[in-house]
Amino acid sequence: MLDAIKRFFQQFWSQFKPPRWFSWQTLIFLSLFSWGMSLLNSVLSDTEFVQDFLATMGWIFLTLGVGWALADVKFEFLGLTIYPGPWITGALTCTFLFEGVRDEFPALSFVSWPLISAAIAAVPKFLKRGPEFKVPDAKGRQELVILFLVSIILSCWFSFHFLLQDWLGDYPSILADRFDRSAFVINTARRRVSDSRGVLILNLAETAVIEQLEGRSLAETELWLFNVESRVADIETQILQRISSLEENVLWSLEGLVSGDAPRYRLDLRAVWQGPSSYLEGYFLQKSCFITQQPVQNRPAASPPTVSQVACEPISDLLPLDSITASQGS
Amino acid sequence: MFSVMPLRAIAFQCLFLLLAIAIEAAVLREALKLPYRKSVEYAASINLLSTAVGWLIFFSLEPLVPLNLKFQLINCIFFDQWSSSIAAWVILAGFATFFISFLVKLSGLDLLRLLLQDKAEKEPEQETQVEKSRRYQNTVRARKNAREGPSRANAVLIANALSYTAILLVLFIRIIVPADTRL
Repeated sequence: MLDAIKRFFQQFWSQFKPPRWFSWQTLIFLSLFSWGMSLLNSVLSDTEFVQDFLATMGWIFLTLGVGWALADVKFEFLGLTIYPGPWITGALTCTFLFEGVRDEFPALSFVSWPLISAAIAAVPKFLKRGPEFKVPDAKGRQELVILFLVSIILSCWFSFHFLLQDWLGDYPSILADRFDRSAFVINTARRRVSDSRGVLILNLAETAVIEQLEGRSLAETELWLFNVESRVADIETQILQRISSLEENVLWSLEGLVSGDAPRYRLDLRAVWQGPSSYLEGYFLQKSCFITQQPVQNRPAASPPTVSQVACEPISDLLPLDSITASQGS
Repeated sequence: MFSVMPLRAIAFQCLFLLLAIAIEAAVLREALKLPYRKSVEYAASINLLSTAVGWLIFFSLEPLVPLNLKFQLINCIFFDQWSSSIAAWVILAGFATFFISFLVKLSGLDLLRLLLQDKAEKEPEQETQVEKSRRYQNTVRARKNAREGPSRANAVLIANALSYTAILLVLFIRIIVPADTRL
């Protein structure tokens, strides 16, 4: 048994033994060793400083080792020679550097990735045998200029991506719209109406309307429907205070339209979006509620003969806002 | 977080960069009598520089735009909706972009020449210029100008104008192609 383990380790060692002490395999081993010690430390004691220090050392060794290992790896693509090494090393460096602030500034590691990678790729051009510092020749300087400009543009693309994410964070209802016409963005996810916060607003409005009308007498209901504008405006204020306060809240408004005749009324609740959208005038989501009168079973003497009952339909798809004026005009 | 990505913008930017570099390299090669490789390197450098400067200007102006204009911007970027109120701004921005990019490219070309100058090449040139008498220097310069054709600024202006024309043509084609057959 012991012999077998010994043989296994001998084989393992002969397979992975660094060819020289000063080589990238040594660095990878050092990083594994550091992580192992860090793990051991976390099991045996909980000195956080030592543990973090060892993990950091492991990460640095890994980055250096990977950078060294990939120094000569290259492949051809469309007549260009691409060295993936600096990009991977840069990615490791950025992950390591910005690990602590990833939740606060998720963009930072992405935006700095091309710049750090370009800096890593530039280092060998400034070194000559020795190693000593040298100024690269004219050809090398031209390559460096293009390399840095390309990496600046790449990090601008990442910044642009995160700027769009910021906008979507402030105005999440944009996601419910279609991006087919856009010259800038694509949406890889399927479009869902439920991404629009109009859905949330309408569901809350439905609850409020049911709360206010269900079980009321016909007279009370008709009074409510007569004052529908101010009642719906009250509900709107309440809802906008209740839902999480985002920049887009000012762009939403709630409207109520009453149609039908006694005893059966129809109340159309509309969440109107006046922000950016693929519809020229904006769009609205609609929820139709039917208010009917139900006779009261074994009613007490004082109560009315019938009470209101509210039943609402599911929410519609996005409807362009200009049709509202068209339907009102006709 | 990664469902909405500006991939179309990146694709268009790559297309426009390739177009501009190809056209401007040809113009610079003709006007400045450069070898093929150098003209492409120069054109690539100045176009990448002007693109990078453009992005930096965009990112520095973006937090300053008023809310109304920001909605218009979001409309343009996500939905390609260009209202008439923003059209004037777009035309103004187009002119500004043209002249700023011209200045950036011109100074970029000067910087690049300065940066790529080898000390070994520079010194003998200076020596010979010191040796030459002033009387001859003017005629030498005039001959040199005649040999180089239009000046560098002129070359960059023509290159910029041609590449912008090509980009506008592509944008125009994009407008007349029906939306459902686009990229």
